Amino acid sequence: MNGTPFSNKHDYKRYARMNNQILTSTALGGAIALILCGCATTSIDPPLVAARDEVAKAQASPDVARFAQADVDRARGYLAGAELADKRHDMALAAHQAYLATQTARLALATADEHVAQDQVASAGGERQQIQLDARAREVDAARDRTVNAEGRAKQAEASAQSASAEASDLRAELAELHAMQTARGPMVRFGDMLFDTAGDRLKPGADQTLDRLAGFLVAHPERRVLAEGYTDSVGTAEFNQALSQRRAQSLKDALVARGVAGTRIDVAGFGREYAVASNDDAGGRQLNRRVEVVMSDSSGQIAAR
Amino acid sequence: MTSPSPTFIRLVAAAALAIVAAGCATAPARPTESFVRARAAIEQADRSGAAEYAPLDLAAARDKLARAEAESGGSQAPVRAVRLADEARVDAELAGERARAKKAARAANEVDKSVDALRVEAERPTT
Repeated sequence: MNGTPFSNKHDYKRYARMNNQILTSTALGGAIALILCGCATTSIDPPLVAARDEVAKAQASPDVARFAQADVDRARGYLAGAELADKRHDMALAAHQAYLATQTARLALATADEHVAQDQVASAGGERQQIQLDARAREVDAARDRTVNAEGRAKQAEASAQSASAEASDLRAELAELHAMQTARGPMVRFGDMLFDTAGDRLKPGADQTLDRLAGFLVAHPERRVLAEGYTDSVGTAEFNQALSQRRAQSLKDALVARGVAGTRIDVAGFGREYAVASNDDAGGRQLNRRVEVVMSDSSGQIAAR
Repeated sequence: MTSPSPTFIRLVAAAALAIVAAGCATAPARPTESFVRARAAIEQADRSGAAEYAPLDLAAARDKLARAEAESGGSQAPVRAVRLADEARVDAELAGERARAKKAARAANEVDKSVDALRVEAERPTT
């Protein structure tokens, strides 16, 4: 019977005895382990754990370090005593020392709280003063700002008044250069009949200089519009004169458009023999009546109608 | 009448010193010392307003001191009584400190409020 564990009865008995021994020693070992475990649990005794936690908390606080270091040191002394007693299995002393450590660590935390609050009260006086100083400074700043703003506004007003008066004087100079006449309807430039062929509507080159100046003025003052009004003397039929005056005004408009002035800014009108400026009884008077007048708008583009 | 010999004086002085030194050395372990300190701490806590601000801590201190006194009177080993008295002392110290901390916190809170009020007042536009 090779291969079976027990070749005879004797062997079996020996095996059983051996088994028993193993069982016994295992049980013994377990018991010892349990006891050891029991010993080990003493170091996680609740009072000691609480003391460790509380002391660690106090030690971690910067406020405690500032205000209650002596208390923390005492707590650590108690904790060391508790650990030592725990190692020596003097559980009552360990619990007692742990309790003293816990309460003293709490005392350290409370002491730190008290000092922090006291500091807060003490610094409030300074803070209060600072607030009042800040408020005063803000008032002064505000007053200064108001002064500066008022000065700024005054200067601005002065400057714009100056620039307005400068513009006005510029405008006057330009209009003078155009030989513009001041009329109730606005500045007016007159083109006499010498600049047109007799009964013709084409402008002569002699008008070029005045046209250039007028066009330049209109380009420089885009806010202004013009009304070109044609007139004739009393010679000839009213219809003929009406048409002629209209054509002459149109020629003037075309000449200005050719010089870069937008056509939409130029209105034309023909009044024929109406509105004579001189007597039609003599040649000199009739010459004055044959004319084209360019009336300028004000700065908002308005032109008073005839 | 002859005055005591210098040797005798030295002996007496040494004995007195030894007694004093022994007294100092054993002082922390004497029950009366712990009781005195515990009672003083409780009184101090009471003056700090612990009855109002830390009543539980103060009650614990009083309870422990009472138990310590009861045990010291009986046949119990005084070490337990001393420990209880010492615990009563730290309880009372904590009670007093917590009371002071709470009062200080309350004062700080009130001061903060008044500073905030002042700030609001100060920052209000004057126009």
